[in-house]
Amino acid sequence: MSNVSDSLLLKLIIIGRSMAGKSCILLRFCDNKFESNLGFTIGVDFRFVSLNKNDETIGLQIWDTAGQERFRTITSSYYRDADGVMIVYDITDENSFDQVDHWFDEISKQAPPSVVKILVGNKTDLENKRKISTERGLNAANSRSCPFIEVSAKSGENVKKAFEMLVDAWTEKSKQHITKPRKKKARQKITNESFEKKDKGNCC
Amino acid sequence: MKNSKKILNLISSWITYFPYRWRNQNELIQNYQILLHQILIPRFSEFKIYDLHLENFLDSKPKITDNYKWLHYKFTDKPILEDEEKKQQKKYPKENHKKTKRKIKKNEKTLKHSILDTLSETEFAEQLSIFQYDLMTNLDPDELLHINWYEKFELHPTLTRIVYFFNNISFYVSWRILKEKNVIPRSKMMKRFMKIFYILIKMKDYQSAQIINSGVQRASIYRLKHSKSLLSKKDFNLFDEGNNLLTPNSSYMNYRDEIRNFEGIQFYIPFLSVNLTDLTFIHEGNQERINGMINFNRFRFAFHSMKMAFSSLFLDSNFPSPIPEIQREFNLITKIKSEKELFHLSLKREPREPDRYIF
Repeated sequence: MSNVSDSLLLKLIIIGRSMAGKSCILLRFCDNKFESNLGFTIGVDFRFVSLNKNDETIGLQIWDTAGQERFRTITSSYYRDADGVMIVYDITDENSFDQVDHWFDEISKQAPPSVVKILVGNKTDLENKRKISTERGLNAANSRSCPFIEVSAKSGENVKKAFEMLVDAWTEKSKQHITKPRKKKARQKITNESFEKKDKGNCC
Repeated sequence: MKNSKKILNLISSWITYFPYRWRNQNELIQNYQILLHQILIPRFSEFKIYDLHLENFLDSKPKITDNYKWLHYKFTDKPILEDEEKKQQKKYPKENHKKTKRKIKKNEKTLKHSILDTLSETEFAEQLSIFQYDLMTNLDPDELLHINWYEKFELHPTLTRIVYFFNNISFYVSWRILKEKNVIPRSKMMKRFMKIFYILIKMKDYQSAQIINSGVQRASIYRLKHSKSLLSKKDFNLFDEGNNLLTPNSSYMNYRDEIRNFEGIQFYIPFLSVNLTDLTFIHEGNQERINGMINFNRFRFAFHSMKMAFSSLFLDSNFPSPIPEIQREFNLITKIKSEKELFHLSLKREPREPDRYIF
């Protein structure tokens, strides 16, 4: 198995309305490490998880805003340099779904353009209390061209899959972007040269 | 019987100090009633005494001052030297209130925040810190024990005030920078707040420091390249030093390392949102009951997190005298602009540039 430090390291952020179950998703994904080893894990980055994909180990550094949602301004610094964002809503809470738009807006302003997103509907274990249908969730995700999945942090259903989907989306996007930086560099070089020429022209 | 009485006294104190912990806890109430019947059925007169406790307190509101005292004893093992009232009187002498009565001016709206501009960076930091200290010391620890503090604002009055104050001042910082139409004064204003941030870090008021930091780091300010280009390397170094301390990396590891040295020894105002995150995970990651028994570890973890937040708050601090006028001004600051408006204003001040400038 390859070493994590030698492999890819992605910064992922989990956002969403408070009580949507963000911390539960993270805890479930981290195999409840926080519960068993709390005294040691506070202050240590327990939100670092390695994911094996196609014989490759991908390090995931997961940042979550649990408990800080109302300090709105803090979260803006979280978005910087993010590779992926997981937007979580509660399928039993209409208000949390209404805020999805707000979160997408925020990402477009604060996060880098290359960031990948996934919309996640949580609490599928509470099917009898469901207020947001799967279709509505799917439509919301489709309108923003991002993947969608419904999970249950309580039972653990689809939690790992959600993170895998986010990583897949990132891999796909990064493949598409391979040529873009080259183009950018070339364009930049040309403009620098043209600036120099222009400056010289002005001097003479 | 002695031991039974001890237990009953403990539970009755629990009800007295934390009545709303008992609300909607039907199982707990039922168990308490059964316990009362079992222990005190032969002594009916005493049964009435303990039963009354529960009925009287179930609908009452939390006693913030009492809880605060409890916390003070719990963490410092020292009696409170002055009660809250005396402390307030000391901080805001009545004479001062009379002297500094402000005349309401016609153009109050535009002058609303100008008084804050008259303060030096150090004065601004000190006054902000005093305001923050008052808020934090009024925070009832029981407010933090509820995981659903977002849903029930009435149960978390001080925490709600702290959050609003944080967001409002942070918005004010961004707005104040963007208010300057020209690059040079805008850059100076940016420098001013960066300096305030640094002073607050040195004063160990991490909560207020983060307020300023988040105001300066907001996307609408962060993108102001022209204004930033006028700042010196020294300005950035000082800012980065503080920023590095409060970085969310590794679950605020740098910040935690820093305060570990001060805990219970030296005064500091904690950055509360770190504790809120910890408490969220403590609640979510630890069951309330294991095999029907109360999971005391859960409460122990919560206690340690709160101890980290409050243990140094009651130590001696060297605050200068508060300026009532400024304190009132902080209180008056409401959300000035929305995030969207600020960003729009930012684009107006420094429009997006063509691709060639992006490196």
